[in-house]
Amino acid sequence: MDYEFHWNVVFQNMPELLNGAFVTLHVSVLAMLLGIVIAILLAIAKMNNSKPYCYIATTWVEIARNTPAIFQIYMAYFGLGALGIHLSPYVAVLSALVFINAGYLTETFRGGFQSIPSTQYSASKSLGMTSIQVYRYIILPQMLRRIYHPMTNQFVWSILMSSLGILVGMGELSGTTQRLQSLSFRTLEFFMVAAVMYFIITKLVLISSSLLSRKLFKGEI
Amino acid sequence: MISIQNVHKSFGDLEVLKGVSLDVNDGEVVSIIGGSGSGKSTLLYCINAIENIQKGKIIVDGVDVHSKETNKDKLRQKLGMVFQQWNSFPHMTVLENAALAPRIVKKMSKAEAIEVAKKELVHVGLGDKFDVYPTKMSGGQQQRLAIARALAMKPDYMLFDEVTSALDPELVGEVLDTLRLLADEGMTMICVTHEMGFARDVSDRVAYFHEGVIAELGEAKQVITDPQNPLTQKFLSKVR
Amino acid sequence: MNSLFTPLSWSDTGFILIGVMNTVTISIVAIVLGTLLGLAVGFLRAESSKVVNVLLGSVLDILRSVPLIIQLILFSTFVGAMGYPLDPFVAGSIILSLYTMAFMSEVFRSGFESVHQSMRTSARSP
Repeated sequence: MDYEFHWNVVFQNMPELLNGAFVTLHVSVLAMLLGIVIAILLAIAKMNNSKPYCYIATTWVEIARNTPAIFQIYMAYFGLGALGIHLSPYVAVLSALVFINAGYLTETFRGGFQSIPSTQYSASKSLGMTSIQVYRYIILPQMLRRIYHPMTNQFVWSILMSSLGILVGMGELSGTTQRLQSLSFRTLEFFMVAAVMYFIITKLVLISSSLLSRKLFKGEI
Repeated sequence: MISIQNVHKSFGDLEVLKGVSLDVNDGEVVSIIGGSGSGKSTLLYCINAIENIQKGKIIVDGVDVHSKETNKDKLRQKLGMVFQQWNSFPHMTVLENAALAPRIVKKMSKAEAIEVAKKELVHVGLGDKFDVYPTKMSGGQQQRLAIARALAMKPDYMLFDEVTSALDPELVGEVLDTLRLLADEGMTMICVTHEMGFARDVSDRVAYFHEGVIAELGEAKQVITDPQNPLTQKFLSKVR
Repeated sequence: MNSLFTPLSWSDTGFILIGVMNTVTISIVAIVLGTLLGLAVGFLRAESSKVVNVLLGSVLDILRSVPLIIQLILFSTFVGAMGYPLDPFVAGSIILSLYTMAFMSEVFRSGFESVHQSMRTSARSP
């Protein structure tokens, strides 16, 4: 094999790579939080009987779930740019991820909510609980257990998909890697380190998520 | 006292209760029997204000259940209810299941609530299951948990909606024994049931529901063993 | 300001159609190859020893937790550096197939393992 590996330049740029990794985590967390908020609203809208709300929610969910993430990111960056709305790469990637997360999580939330039998509600009411108490103590805790793993997966997915920031010159891990390798031409080295960093990030997320779930959920479903 | 006066209840075009009147006195056990769709379970839901009614009145201890001024959450504390499906809260231990409502509805201290819950769990024979999760228990045990959970609210009345009909046959006995125990202790109970032996032996009076009206109401032994109404006779001959 | 964008015209339809065909082709290749490979790997994981399982598992884990775009860049750069540059379509097909394999193998593995306990005992009994 003719290729000679040069790792020095990678190590010299480690602070920048770590900074990129931080931005990756940053954008994914934010995309997740905003996605959750919107998904709650969309799920309520979708379960609502009022036609226009339901229609808007359904359209959102279908578009988000049936188009590739790269399309959303291009739309947010170049598409809106062509219309004169210039988003920074960060905002463009963030809004695309929020859009998709919201679409997927809407279905997760709706499914989680509908999987709880309505008899849990009437049984709780018969004990004299107010509606708020029923949701607070009975419905939502059970729902959280059911949506916890799908939500973790969605978060991991966000981290992986934020790598598409590379295409619009965003300063997250992939984008930073791309920029650094184009300065030094150590493509393999830089991307191998980036791959390892992605691996570590997703593993850490999964491990802490399962530790947290063990602490949160003692009962079995 | 629960006083049911000429109650009408419809689901859309379907009239389920067509003028039902029944007084249940304190300390009395009334069983309601009848075919499926005769409206017997619906009546319990109406007494507990889970369902509203279109006409008539239900008065519990002088309070009109369906009046707008009535605080229904408050009223339900008086009326314990156990359902066909036991509806244990799967994310809580047996003890937490029973202690939750006393704690958050009656605002008892944690220690008080746990004490009450433990007492009622022992009462129904679940004294060794405090820290077990309900999903690990049999249907009969979960149904007894549901009874203890309702009793922990110290209700004045208990409504039982076909509590044994979703159970495996070999588990029916333990739940009926618990009901029998409550009846002996003087609890006022309305039991919708398919267990004719139970209705005959445990209840004071039996009401036979047919198509939304009470077709026959009388002393328990008489209605079950010597029904007067031909409809009751026909029903009982089919059930046996 | 002059726009960088030229409006979409009918002459672009041909390019878009070629793109659509490429998407469909690469998807079919990835699904077919990925499923077949996934079947084989899933079977291996269900049947083999713990050591093999851990090794296979960590490779699959890497495929699942590194972004696809990084895998694509790494793979095509790597084969290029080794002196065997690949057509992007071929490189893409290979990576997508492996990616599909990583997910399908779990499906097949749990399938194989669920059959295990009961079927195996009864199948072995004379």
